[in-house]
Amino acid sequence: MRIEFSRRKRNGERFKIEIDVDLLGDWRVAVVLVQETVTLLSRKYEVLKTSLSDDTKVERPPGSTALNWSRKIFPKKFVRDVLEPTVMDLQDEYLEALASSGKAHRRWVYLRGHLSFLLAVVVGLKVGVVKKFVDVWKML
Amino acid sequence: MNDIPRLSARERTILELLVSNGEMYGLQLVKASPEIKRGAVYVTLSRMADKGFVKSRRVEEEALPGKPRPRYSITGLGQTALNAHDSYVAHFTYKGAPA
Repeated sequence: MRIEFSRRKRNGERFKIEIDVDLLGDWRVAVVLVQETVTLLSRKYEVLKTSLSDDTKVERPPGSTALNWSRKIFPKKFVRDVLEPTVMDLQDEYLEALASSGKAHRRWVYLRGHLSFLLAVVVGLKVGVVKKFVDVWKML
Repeated sequence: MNDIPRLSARERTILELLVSNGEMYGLQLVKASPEIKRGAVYVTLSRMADKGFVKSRRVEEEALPGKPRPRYSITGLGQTALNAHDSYVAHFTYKGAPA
């Protein structure tokens, strides 16, 4: 799948960008036009950064670093069922905020998403510990 | 008495929403009810899936490139648990003094 779009610069000159979505791996990509720059969110942002023009701002998707660390720490099932969907929701809401609202709201969505992630980790761990305790109790 | 399924208020809300709306994403559940919080929704859904009350499936969508998000729906056991819980609550709810 290819995304193709063009944007007019301040001097009236148009520039065209084509992106192969397959290049972005399993991550959603957002093409958001904010003033003069095009913001792309991608895990493979190094690849995009080198292949796109200077007018294109490339960012890591919010929550991707936290998710990468979680994959090293927590059980696969917990990451797949709880943390991955939490981060996907954060990214979706962040993309919506990027496209339609101001900086303050965007920051709030970013912060709220990360707090939700933290809460999911705390609640998930608490449930896990209690479950383990009950299992041990039943064995006694 | 021990066989009556225990549902927390949040679990009950989720099951009710799934009954009335069919398949839903976690974020849709959060937006549909103020009782369901962003940080707890997937932990609750995961626990409910372990109990067999809900099931999830990941659907590829053309409009949304990327990893598919899980969509949740109620199972037969979930429906039974909801009905049993509601009739249990109705049975023990004080309906006022007889006339």
